[in-house]
Amino acid sequence: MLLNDIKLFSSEIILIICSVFILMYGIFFKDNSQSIKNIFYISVLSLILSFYSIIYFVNPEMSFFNNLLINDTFTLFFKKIVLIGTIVIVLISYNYLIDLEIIKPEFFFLILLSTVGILILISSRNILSMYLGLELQSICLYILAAYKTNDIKSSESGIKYFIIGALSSGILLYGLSIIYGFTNATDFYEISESIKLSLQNDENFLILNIGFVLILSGLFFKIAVVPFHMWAPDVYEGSPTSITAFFTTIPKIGALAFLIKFLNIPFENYYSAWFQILYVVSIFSMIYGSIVAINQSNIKRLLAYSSINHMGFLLIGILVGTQTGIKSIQLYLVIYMISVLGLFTCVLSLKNKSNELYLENIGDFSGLIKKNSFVAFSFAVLLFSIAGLPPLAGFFGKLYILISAIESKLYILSIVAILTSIVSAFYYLRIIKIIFFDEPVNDISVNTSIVSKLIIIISIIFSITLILFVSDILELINSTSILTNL
Amino acid sequence: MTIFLFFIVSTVIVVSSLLVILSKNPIHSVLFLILVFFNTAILFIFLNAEFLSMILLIVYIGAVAVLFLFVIMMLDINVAKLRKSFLNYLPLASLIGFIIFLELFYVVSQSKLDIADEASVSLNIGDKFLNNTKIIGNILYTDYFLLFQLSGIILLVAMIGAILLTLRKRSGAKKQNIHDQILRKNK
Repeated sequence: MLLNDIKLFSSEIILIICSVFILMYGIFFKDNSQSIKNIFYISVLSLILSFYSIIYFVNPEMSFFNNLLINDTFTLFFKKIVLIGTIVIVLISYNYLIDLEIIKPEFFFLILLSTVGILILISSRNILSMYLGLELQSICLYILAAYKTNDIKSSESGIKYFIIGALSSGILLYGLSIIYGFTNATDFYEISESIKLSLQNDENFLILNIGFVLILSGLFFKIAVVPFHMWAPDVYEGSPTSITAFFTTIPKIGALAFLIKFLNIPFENYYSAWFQILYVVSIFSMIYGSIVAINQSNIKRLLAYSSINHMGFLLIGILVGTQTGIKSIQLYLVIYMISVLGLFTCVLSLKNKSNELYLENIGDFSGLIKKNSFVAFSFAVLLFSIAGLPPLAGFFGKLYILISAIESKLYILSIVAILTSIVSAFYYLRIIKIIFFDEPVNDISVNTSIVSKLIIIISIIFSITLILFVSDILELINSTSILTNL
Repeated sequence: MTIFLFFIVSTVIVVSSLLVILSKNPIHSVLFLILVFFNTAILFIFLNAEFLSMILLIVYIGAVAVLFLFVIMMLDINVAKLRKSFLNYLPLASLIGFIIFLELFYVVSQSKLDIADEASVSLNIGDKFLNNTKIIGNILYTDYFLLFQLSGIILLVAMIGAILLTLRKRSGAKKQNIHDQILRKNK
């Protein structure tokens, strides 16, 4: 282990040290609001420091820790997004958890360590480090799902997530062992070489196919696409809302970034095999996610189905198999994350005045415009953006993915994508209709702290003005690339 | 000599694994299971795989079997009732057992490994004689240092999670106040 390794791993090391420090701090300074506040500041500070170290200490295209991890520019791009998203999650969680009186130092510990897991997953170049990163992330998520111990729904979601997650990890691990048996390599680039050699010698690929399908199933469980989606709505509904916001964005971005890397480095020469699998999964996710969501009354369930739909949409970008496809996914993910986090911040600011419960039922949002026009209009802008209405940000995400799909002559896929986008626009518009035109059924109290107001304003400004600087963002994205061979 | 010991140990394994299933008392079953693990560990030593045998002792006997004992003592399981359905499952179970036996037989008969020959897992690197444990240690703490540390963090998270989800402050739970206990006067 060299000093250089520590320098390249600094962003993760900062998070690990701070999380352990938080744990110790929580033990020695017993629960009072001041020490929780300090812990909150420490965790935000550590995430900012980690972001800083990615920019200033970590140089791209270098492997470290005996070739277990690698940072290419593509990885660094996603690492930055993940860290920004996590900062927002920590900021919006703080008030919510204090309000529910379930705030504990362990919450910040778990959020920070799951971020570490995601960062390691994204930057892995070896199936061992990848597996450990994925496990670190998912074990933290299981605990976070069951975090509200006095709520039976939260415990249910935790158990469901744990069982499904453990099953999918087992499937993934089985696939990885088969790949290792076939190629005798754990390094992504060596696996790629070995497969290239086998393709040239025209060997029997049956066993490799089995392993490959098992790995893909495991990863599809993590990003929740049809037919591996069953757990998502229940888990999202049961977990505390701010943690649902985490689930819908950050781990999915991490898993998707890894999926792109995994398909483009070790299985680069094996495009024909994964094309069919992703094609079917993508079409079914888009159709299922958009149609089933129509009938949902809970906003968290609805966003779960909508995220299934979005994941199906994003798989098109991978299917294209070109650099433009990957770039359009990067743009789409940035837009998706900012809009969804803004939306969840809006949802977290609404409470029922009579029983002090957070609103989750869409019907309860009725007449919000008369109560608080700021939150109502931000709902409208963000939902229009996610639905993909032209001047707003979400439109450009969809536009670039569809352009790359049509360039590669994936016509059926593009038609399905457009049709399902229209269907899903219906249920986003339904929420807007309820907020603006329905008579209020109960008294809503709106309380937005300065921080959450700031988050909402930033996400709205981003959604509206993206049209002005979309070329700058694309330029930034174009400067990143996956290191496909050494 | 080794082959003689091998037969003794494997006879013990076969007999005690039968007793695991057949004994009436579940505690006895677990104790026989521990005997199976212990003898399997001896078999690994014959193969010069001393690391595996140590792991088997520590993990299976030290952790898993003790956990089984705990579960049996905590839960009131009526084994006699469970055993009544034994005959119903017998045909299917014997079919699966037969298939597994055939597979194992096929693998062993096809393999080029001569069982009578003493298998040697140890390597002679240079003049120094290295055993398994040393080789694994040398790699684990240098080349795969990161993975080792990450596993440690995962275990820490699992431990914190288990405590976080199960520890709750209930009213009426009996707890010892250490300070009061120490200051208590002898009567």
